Amino acid sequence: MGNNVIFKGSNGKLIIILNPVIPFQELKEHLVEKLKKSKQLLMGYEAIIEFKGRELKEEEELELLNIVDEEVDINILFVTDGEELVSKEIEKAVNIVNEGVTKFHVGTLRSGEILEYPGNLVVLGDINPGSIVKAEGNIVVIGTLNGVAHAGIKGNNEAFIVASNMNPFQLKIDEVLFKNYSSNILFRSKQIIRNKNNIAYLRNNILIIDKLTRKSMKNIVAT
Amino acid sequence: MGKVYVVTSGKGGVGKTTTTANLGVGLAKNGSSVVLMDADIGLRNLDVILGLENRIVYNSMDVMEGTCRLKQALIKDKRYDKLFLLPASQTNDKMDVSTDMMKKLVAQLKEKFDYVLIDCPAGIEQGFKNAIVGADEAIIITTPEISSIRDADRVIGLLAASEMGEIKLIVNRVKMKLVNEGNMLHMDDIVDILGLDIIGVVPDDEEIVISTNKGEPVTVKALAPSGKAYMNIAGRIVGEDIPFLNIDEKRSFASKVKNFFSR
Repeated sequence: MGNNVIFKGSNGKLIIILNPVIPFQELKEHLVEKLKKSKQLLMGYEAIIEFKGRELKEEEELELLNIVDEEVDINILFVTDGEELVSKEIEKAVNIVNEGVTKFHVGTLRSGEILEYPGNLVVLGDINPGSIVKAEGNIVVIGTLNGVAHAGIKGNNEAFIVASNMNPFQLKIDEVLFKNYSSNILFRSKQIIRNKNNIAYLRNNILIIDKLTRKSMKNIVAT
Repeated sequence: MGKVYVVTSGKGGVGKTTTTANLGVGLAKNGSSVVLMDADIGLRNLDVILGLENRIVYNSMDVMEGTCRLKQALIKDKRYDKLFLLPASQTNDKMDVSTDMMKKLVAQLKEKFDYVLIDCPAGIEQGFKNAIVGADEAIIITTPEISSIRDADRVIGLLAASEMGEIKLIVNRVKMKLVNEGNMLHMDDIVDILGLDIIGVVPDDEEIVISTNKGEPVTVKALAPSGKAYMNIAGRIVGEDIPFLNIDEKRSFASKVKNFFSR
């Protein structure tokens, strides 16, 4: 009975070999049991799943996937029917997942408001003084960034912050704070000095604000 | 059915009460019936600025508690037949009033007057919540100082969250000399930061101090620059198209100032 469901890992792929003859209901139970045993092993695993050894109907495959999803803390990238995958494609899929999801917020954030997101954030509006934007990924502000912005809150030194007008209260990427603010509050509040299209990123653990140019963009890609 | 405006700012001392009194006079002069309601319970001032302190018998708390009828608590202005004040209680505090009580009272006032102006207390606590609950639109007062603008922004956020109608901006106490020297924020910068429509700019004016001490709002005579500015704002509230003059044009300093004051 132990061999009705077999797990095999290869090249980032999790191959699940299924017994071809036992009833589907029984097979499901075996899968649950097997998953429970391998819970520790599979935790946080980013996998491409392949079912082998048994002809599955579409709804059966979905049912099995649901079981996998419920039983273990695993990140299913996609499911393959076993044909050889070009490794580049796998890499691409992994990258998309790692880049995270993105939220679009339309509207100005006023003093006292907080916007936090476990992915990337795009704000179409201003971040006024006294308001806070936080993201696990990158932050892009199509508007004026006057408040507090913190990118890469859960530790991500590749995160960046872009704003049409960069004039923040406080800027933080990963755990690094920006230090060279202009101290003249009156001056900073005026329209004329607005810094057009700037980007903030980390280089050698120092937070740099740069004009958003081809060169600075290359720097981010390189980091 | 009248329209209810709440005059608010967040920060204290920027001219909410002075503005309320002067806009009230301005609207009454234009022929509208106006009631000014002091929502600053426990720290009332509006009666002093209007010079009506010694006529108070009942106040809004008495009306809300049913001690008197609304008509008994309303004080008619000495100068204008259509201008009334509903004073606040000085012996209670803001926690004694609930938003429901205020809503009811404001609804009553709205039926009797063309304009209801509510003078909001400073802060964003219960007093603020009570003051905004019955209002249709809000008028934000700010000075060109950063701290005042920051607080205004916070209040605008709270008003938007409570689904306030239109929110308009008055920039008070502008010192043109400092603005021209670059030592004070320009109105355009303030509008840019707060993202609101501006309905008036009031110059810093010593006459305000003098008139407050006399208990006669500057709009009564409207000779001082501030009085003229308030009259223009009152005109804009009733829907008149009073243009803003561009003060940035290359003119002599004297004419710039003159132009600004005649806004």
